[in-house]
Amino acid sequence: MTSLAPAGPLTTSDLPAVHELDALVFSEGSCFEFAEDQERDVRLRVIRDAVALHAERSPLYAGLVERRGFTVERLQDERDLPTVPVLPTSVFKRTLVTSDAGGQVVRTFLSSGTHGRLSLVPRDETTLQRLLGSVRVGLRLLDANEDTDADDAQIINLGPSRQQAGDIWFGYVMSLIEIISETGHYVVDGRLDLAGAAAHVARASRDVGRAFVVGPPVFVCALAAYLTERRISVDGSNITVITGGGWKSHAALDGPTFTRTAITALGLPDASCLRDAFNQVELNSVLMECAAGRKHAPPWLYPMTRNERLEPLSDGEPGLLSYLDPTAVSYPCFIVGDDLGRITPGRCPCGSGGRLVEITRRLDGPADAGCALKMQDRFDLGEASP
Amino acid sequence: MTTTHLHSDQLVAYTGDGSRVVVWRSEPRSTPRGVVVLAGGFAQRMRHMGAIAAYLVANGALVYRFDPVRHPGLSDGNVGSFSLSALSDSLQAVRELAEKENPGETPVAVASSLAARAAVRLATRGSGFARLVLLVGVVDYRRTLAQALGTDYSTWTIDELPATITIEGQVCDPRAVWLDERDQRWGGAEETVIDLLSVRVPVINFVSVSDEWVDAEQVEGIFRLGAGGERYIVRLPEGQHRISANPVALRTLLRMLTTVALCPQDRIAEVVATQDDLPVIAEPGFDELVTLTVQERARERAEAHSSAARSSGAVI
Ligand SMILES: [Zn+2]
Repeated sequence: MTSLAPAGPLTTSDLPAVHELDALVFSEGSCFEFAEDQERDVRLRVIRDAVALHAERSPLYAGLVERRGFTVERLQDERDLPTVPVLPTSVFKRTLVTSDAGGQVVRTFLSSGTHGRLSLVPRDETTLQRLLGSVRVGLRLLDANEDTDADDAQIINLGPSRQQAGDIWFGYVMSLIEIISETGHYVVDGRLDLAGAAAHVARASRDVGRAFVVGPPVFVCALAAYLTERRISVDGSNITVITGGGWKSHAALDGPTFTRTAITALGLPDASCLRDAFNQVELNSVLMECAAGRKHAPPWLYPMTRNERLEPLSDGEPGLLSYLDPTAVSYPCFIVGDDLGRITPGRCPCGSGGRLVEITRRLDGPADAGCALKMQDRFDLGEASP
Repeated sequence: MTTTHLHSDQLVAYTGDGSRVVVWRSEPRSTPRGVVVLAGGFAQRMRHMGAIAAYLVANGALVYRFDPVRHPGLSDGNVGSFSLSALSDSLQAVRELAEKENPGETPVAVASSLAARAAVRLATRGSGFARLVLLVGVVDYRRTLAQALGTDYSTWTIDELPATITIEGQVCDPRAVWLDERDQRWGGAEETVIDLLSVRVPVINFVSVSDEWVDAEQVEGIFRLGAGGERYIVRLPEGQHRISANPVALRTLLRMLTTVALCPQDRIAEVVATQDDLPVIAEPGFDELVTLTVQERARERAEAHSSAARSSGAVI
């Protein structure tokens, strides 16, 4: 690795190679531009390396791999990926799943909510850095990251600051949007400050730069209701709304109603200015919706569906959503969760790569529904409860 | 949880023509192990150098960073009249400030990209810097400009130049750049070799093998020829000119950079050669670096607003 070449007073050496996965997660260009076969090859390689790592470092995952008689050498082709053993996310509620032996974990994150058991997910520096990398990659689908003029954008976060989010994953991930530009956080001490958020939105809509409103759909609805009730008119031609947190199980918040409400109240040009993002505490990558309304997995992530016996299903078949995410170092992120959905076969008409995930609904009952609803439980909605 | 340990005081240095250079000085918790003047490349403001500053300060350096004049940021002048000399004059002013505040200490320069070329020039004047640590340091100014602009304007006559040029998204006057290149002989590779021959202090350049702006092989050739003192090249495996895009790679780089910037001079060779055994250094964490980015961006904005308010008040 180190080559020492003394020739006169010149000494040279090489820093160790960067893992292919990091080159991908932190690429400066868009990593959604791979040709399909190239994307498949890269994904297979980075996932194979990650499976090998966790099979070695996580006793719990090693046990699962052994029981299944699985070996990494089996992974020769993308079609082999469904054979990788996965952990039901309920396991994260019962035990601390970790691949960390050396005390590298900087924080253990919790799923949000007050009902039932919480998931515990330990993350180290590299895992967090890659999560942030995936946020940035996702934002490229919105043509927004800190390298563009978005540095002058205004961000209205209908969530807590990173400090206030603490170890609660959902608020923490949303707050990371502040990396791209100056951000106002409007959940303070557990209370959504609708007046503050509305004033910021109105101010931002008069500015020339872009503005982003970020938050769970229930809070965006609350903001829309507040603006409408107070007759605060907003010309949102420069506004993009990014929602996240899971919400389809909330009957009052079906997609078309939400879209209409938000477009009207915020003065958005069209539905492409509303983008939904998906993540859950056990998953270390973010899936962002493109202009065509599809959720793109970043190229390193392999999403798929499984039946109730956790057997793999083909693309297009509805089932439990399952992910192979190689970006986590401190825990094995090969999971099958509670959400129902399907993988849309083929490439997206928007031209970007990545597998396409359609999330139909959460499996859990209302008491354990999406993070956004839990946030609604946790936080006082203020004067404009939807 | 996430408070940043990096505190910066804002100071002002002045260039020879009286222009204000705004400086952020960050002190370590205990007695400094060394003084570093940290210079960003073209279009990099001092707030973009926060992570490097945090590493250096966490390991005991007293760090001065700045926004150059005629450059984006808090200092005097507009990027429209950018020249390499304006960057060099700013670096010189901050070096003098650092020396004045720390008598008997010769600062180490940590300079990125174009600022590296200026640091090399300043170090030819004898009393410049104790050491130059260059991050993707430009060694062939003409070539780098040609790469960034798609055309080598130094071969044009001044009358043929377009009204404006755009470098890294910044609109500049090509005449200012062209005249400065000619008059100050920043030149190409040859001029850097000539400068380096009279630089006696150690020079370490971190170069990226896939850099479109700085050719790693060319750096090696120039460093062999310009051997006025110890020369070191550390090759980065991945990434383009802006290595900061990859924090995982950046971390390895910053460990090495921090160590070579602060170690005793007779240890540099060993550190460069045996990087596997880098001493354990203090490292700022993920949350701290995110917090720092956010806080320094807000601070820059607040300073820019208050200085705009001051200057409009003066007009009234
Ligand atoms: Zn798409």
